[in-house]
Amino acid sequence: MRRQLNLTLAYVAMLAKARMSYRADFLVQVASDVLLQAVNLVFIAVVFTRVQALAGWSFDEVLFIYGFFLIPFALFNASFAALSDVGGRYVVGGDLDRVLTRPMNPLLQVQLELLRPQALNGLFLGVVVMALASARLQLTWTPLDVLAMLSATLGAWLVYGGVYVAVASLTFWTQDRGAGFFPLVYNTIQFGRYPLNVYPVAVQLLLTFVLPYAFIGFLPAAGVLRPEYAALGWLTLPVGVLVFAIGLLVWRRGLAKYEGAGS
Amino acid sequence: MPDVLAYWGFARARLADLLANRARFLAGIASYFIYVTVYAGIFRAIYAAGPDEVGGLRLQEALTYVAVAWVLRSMYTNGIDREVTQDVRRGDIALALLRPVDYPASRLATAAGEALTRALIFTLPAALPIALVYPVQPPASLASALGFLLGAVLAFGIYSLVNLLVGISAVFTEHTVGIQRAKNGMMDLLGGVLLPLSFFPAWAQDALWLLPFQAVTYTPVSIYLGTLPAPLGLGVQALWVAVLALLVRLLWRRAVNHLTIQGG
Repeated sequence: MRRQLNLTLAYVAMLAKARMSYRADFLVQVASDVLLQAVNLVFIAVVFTRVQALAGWSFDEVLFIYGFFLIPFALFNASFAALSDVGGRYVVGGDLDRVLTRPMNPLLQVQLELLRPQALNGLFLGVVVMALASARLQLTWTPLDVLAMLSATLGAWLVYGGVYVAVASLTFWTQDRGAGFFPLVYNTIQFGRYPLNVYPVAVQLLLTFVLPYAFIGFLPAAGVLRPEYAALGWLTLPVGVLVFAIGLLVWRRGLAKYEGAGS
Repeated sequence: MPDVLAYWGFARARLADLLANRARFLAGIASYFIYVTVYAGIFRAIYAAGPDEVGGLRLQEALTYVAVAWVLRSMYTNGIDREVTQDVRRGDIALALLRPVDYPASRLATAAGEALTRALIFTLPAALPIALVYPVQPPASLASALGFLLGAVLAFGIYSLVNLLVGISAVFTEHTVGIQRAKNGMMDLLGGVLLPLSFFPAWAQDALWLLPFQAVTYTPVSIYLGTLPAPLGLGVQALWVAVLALLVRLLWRRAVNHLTIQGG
């Protein structure tokens, strides 16, 4: 465990150095990330020039949900999001052969090689939006609320992780064709940004029980905003652990099937 | 005449490319259904909160707007900005200059092939589940139907010419990822994909009319709904095609000169 932690830190330090050597690229990435999120913020603002509340949620509440959503989303973009390369690069491309020769958890190695620390800038924007919304709502933060947000951030990140590890593992059976599912699970993330009750019931059920993106933004944020959602908000971490465990199980099954890149 | 055949070759090559990637197309169809579901959900919530009419549209029209806007987007979208940038950065553009075809025109032909393929095997299948699930109205009249079809072609032209401008600017800046992403965001927000421009406050609408983005989505979809007379909308679009084509010509000429200096 200690060795894995040290290795993780070494990978992160190495990647950070590599990225910072292209400072212009880094700044462009940060600027365009902010701009992309600004598009969504302007969208929300324009919608609220027309209504006082959306499905019962005020502008500031929607802003708060969106701000929280950005935090685990940034962690996901810096880590699991790049697992969409697993099929092409590791399973079909044969990079996994190299990884398997080393005495270290193969999934951890693959994930470390694919880290994108520059995507972490989204954390900053998320915190700013959330703090702004929190101030406008005059929220009083108890230590329990802070704990709820931290545990939900971890839980939401694990939900992303479980889904992405599972889909990446499909490529063990289907070769790179399985990667066709990635745009689908990525685009569905969009639902997580807004209050769940704006969507039809079928979509709500799907996002709670099948692809549990209800937990990547809306439910945990609503848990802090309104007491009736508090219990569901606390469920985020257990749900994340469960989804991630399923992801690991699929990975293990798939890896057992792996027979090398062929040549 | 052989000239035209040369450009048809570019278009046909892209068609074959796209047909080979069926899994991606299926995921794409599902993705567009998701986009429409997200925004239709938000629109329903807007109207449920009170107003009968927002920005001149009733609920049924607003839902038709979202569906048609995203279906249209599935047709005109292409990546020439990324491809031209790649050509510039890898130096392939030098090779392209040696060919007896005009480079910007050949890129447009490639994109046209892509749009044609998309329209037939992607846009139509993507439109079907959307039309079945959402209460999409037919075009307001025969004139608005024909106007919309012509407007869709012009929308493709404007979208692609803007993309060409972004791609060619790589000659001067080398990196265009930032500009590409900024442009994509503006196409969706200021072009009227995410919501009709008539939902914006009046002062913002005045400014948005001066930009080319509205001519890509808002104008053709408004023609479809009959809220904008077809001749007026098509006239505005044609004007933007002419202006942007001229800009591409000018920028390309400067880019070629710049390239020669670099090659020394």
